[in-house]
Amino acid sequence: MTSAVVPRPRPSAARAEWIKTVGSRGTRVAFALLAVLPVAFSALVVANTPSTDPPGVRGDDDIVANTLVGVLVGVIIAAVVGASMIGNEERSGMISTSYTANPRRHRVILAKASIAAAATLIVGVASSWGSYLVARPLQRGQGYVAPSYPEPDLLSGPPLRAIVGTGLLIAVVALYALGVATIVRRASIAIPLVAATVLLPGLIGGGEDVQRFAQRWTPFAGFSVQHTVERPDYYAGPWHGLAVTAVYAALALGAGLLLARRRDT
Amino acid sequence: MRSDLPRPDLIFETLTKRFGATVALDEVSFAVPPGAVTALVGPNGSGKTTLMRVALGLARPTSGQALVAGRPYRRLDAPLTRIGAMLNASAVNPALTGRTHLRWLAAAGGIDPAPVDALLEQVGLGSAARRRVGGWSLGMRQRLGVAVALLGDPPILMLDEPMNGLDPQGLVWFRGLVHRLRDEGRTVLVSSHLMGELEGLADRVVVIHHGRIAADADIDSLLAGGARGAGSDLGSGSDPGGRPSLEDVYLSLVTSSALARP
Repeated sequence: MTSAVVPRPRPSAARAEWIKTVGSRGTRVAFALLAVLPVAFSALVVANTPSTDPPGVRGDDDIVANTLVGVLVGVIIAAVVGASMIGNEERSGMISTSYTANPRRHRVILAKASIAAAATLIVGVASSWGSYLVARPLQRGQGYVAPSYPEPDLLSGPPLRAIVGTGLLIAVVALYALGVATIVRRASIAIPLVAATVLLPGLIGGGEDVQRFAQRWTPFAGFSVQHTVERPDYYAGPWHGLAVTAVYAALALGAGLLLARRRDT
Repeated sequence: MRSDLPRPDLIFETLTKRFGATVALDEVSFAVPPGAVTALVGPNGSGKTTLMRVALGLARPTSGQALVAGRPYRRLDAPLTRIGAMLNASAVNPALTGRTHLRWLAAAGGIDPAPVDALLEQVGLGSAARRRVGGWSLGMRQRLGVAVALLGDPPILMLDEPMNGLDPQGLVWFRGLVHRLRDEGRTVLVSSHLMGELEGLADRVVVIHHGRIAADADIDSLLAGGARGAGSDLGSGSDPGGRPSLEDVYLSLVTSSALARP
């Protein structure tokens, strides 16, 4: 009842979400795993993949993309992080308190999206950079060396795009998972949905047509951002692929915002 | 209501809420005045929580409206400084500490976080504040829920079953707190399904049953009316002086309105 003396701070949904994020041990562990596991997975795969190209012949393997294969683990952790940001609140019921503090629900969800995207982007770029730095020497040990495989110039063009793009893909998948979790209201449902739609199209196999479609038009398309060479089995441009996955994320978030606004709780 | 009278801070106007075929609230109208403790009483499933959820903009009314400080909740600025609420006190992410919970809420509501530690002390959680809520007892969560409601120093407080899980010491503390809030002139709405725990706490009682208001009266006139009316044919729980207990009046109201329902 005593008020008007001390000026109140401005409400900040983003700061509230940041406090929740760093205040939860589960989230902190997830970010640590996002930093470490893709590097370890890349190293493990690359260290066990010898070059089959005869010396002196120009090879056609995408060696930069191969060092970034840990992204397969990265996107799963990103899905967990994104889905948990709202799924944990829906599960515990705390979402009611969040919406009571800020009845403009879209601001709550967009604040979660900003924090999820920024944090996963930073950690994702660091882990993809780390993956390359750790995996590339192991890859050289497997015979991926000049003259078949000239050393990539990291700071120019495709390799840089692949490394930064991997971080972007991880952030986009986190947003996609946040959107799906907002729709279904449970992380335990959202995570498998996201993992399945992002990863399975690439595992279907099938003919060239199926592969072309999967790389161009499914949420799997984003992995094309890692491509640094021309190959007959690459069907989508790097930015095209990432943009397609980003459109899925935007659609899921948009649907989540509409539903959250309309429904009870 | 005449426009020259001060408007009560919390008003329910012919509020109806249906969930499919179920009528949770049926044209509920009442006002909660400042400077008094109003108790909202009804059996489990009578609509108490739904009513509070509508007031907080968490559920949309089918028709009618709930007004907080003259506006629907979703149109309030800095709502935590207008009305403090405790619904399900266990609805906290169990991974957070009590202190973190209040800190994020202060950030979200535009409230100075400096008094958070003092507030935790005030509700008796000083030593537990930095432990994760997942390991807390129900009584501790209820206390955190009270702290959440008080965080914005709001003139209106709305507490859903706040006495659940409190030990006898906690009950004494809670009564003292509620009376102090009332004496400061705040509007206090407290729900309960146990009439007995409201004796000595509430000034006014609103009885809700099957989503309808079955009674809305001062606690004294309710007891007096109960003595004349339905309460007398219950008898068994009345004290020897002939005055029925609040529980008797409540049971008779709930029973008779159940019969009256088409």
